[in-house]
Amino acid sequence: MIGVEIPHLRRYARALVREREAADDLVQDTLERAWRKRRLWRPSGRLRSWLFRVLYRLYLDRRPHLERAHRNLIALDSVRPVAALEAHSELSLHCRDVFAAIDELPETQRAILLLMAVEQPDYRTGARMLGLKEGTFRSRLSRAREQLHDRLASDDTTAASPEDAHG
Amino acid sequence: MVESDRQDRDYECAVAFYAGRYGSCYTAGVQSWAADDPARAARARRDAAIERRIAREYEAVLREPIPPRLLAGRRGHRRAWLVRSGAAAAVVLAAVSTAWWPDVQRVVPTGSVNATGLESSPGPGEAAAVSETGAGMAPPIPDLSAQGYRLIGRKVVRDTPRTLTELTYEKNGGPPVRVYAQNRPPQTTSQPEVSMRDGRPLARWHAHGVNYALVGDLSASSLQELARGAVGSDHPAPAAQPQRRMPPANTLRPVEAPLEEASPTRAESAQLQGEM
Repeated sequence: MIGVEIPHLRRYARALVREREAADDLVQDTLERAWRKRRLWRPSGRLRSWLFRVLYRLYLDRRPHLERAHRNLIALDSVRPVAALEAHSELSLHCRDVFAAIDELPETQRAILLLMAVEQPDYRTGARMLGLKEGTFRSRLSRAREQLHDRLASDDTTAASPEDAHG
Repeated sequence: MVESDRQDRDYECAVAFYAGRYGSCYTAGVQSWAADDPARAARARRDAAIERRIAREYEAVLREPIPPRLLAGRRGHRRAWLVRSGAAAAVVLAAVSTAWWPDVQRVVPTGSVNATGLESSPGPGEAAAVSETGAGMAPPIPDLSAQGYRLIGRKVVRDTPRTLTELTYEKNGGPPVRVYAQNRPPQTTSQPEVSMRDGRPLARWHAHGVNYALVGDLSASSLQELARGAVGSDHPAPAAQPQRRMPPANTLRPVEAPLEEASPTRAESAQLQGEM
C-alpha cells in the first residue's frame, strides 16, 4: 500500500531538497518513521496525507543540516549539458529566476507553494498533509504567492533597468 | 472574514482553472471573475504558470524507478543497522558452521557463539590449538581505504578449527561493513561473487590463502564493487601475525588482535564493544 505513495513522496522531497540522494534519504527516513509510528495512523485517514505530514516534520527537523550540505555540494542531477542550456538559455534563465525566488521564501511558505504545485490538493487536504490548520495553510499560501510575485516583479525591474538606461 | 474567504477561494479556483486542473465547466465563472478584476486575473494566470512550471520540473520523478533501498525500506537508524549487522554476522557464522564454504571441515561447536560472535565458551578442558599449518594465523587485512572505508575494529570470532576473524570498517560515521576472514589452504585468487543469503547480499572471494566474506548495509552491486576494490587493492596489511593462544579458561572473551593500520580511540573501542 505504501509503495504506491513512494513516487509522490519522492517528488515532493525532491522539490523540497533538490538533490536526488538527499531527497531519497528523506523519503527513507519518512518510511522508517512511519513504520515505527504505524499505530498512530488511523485507517479512516488518507495514508498519503499522513506520510506527507511525517515527511514534512522530518524535513523541518533536518533543514539546518540540509542547508549546510547544500552550500557545499553540487548535485550531479542538477548539472545539465551546456548545449541544452544554450539552446534554451532564455527559458532556463527564467526558470532559474523562478526557483531562485522560491528558494528565498520562508521555509513554511515555500513548502506550501511546492506542495500546491506538485500535488495540487485542495486547502483542506493540503493542510492535513502538512499538519496545519486550514486557515494557516491558506494564509501562508496567499503570502507565499504574494512574496513570490513581488520578488519576480523586482527581478524584472532590475533586469529591465540597464535597457532603460541605454534607451 | 467571510468575504476574505470567498475571495481566496475564488482566486484559488482561478489559479486552478488557469493551471488546467478544472474543466471547461468553470470557464464562464472564471471569465466573469476575471472581467471584474483584470489585474487580479493576470496575477492568477502568472501564479498558475509558475505552478505548471514547478509541476513540470518534478513530473519525471513519478516515472523514475524506485530505488531498492526505499522498497526494502530500512537504511536504518543506528539501532536498525546494529540489528542487521548482528543478523549478517549470524548469517556468516551459520554459513561457516554448516560447511557452506567448500571443504571447510564441519565445526563441532565447543561453546556458544551469539549472533554477533561476542562470546564463545569452550567446554571444560578444551584448549584451543594453534595450528602449524597456518589455520591459526591472523589473515591479511583487505585495504578498503580507496573506497573511503577505515578499519576500526578487528577481533577473532572463532578460533577453532580455523580462525574466523571479523574486520569492521566504517565510512564517514555511516553504518559499518564487516569482512569475515577464514584461513584456507592456498589456492588461486577468486573474484568476488555476490549471493543472497537469508535475503541479504553477501560477497565472497578467496585471496592470499584466506576465504573472505563481506556483509554490510549495501546493495548487492555496491557490495560487489567494494569487494572488487578489496581484491584489487592487493595490499594485505599488516603481515600475518601469530595467533594468540586461547586461554584455558571456560569463558573466552573476544580476542582483540592489535590494530596497526588504524587504531580506534579508547572511546571508539568502548563504543564498539558496547555495540557488539
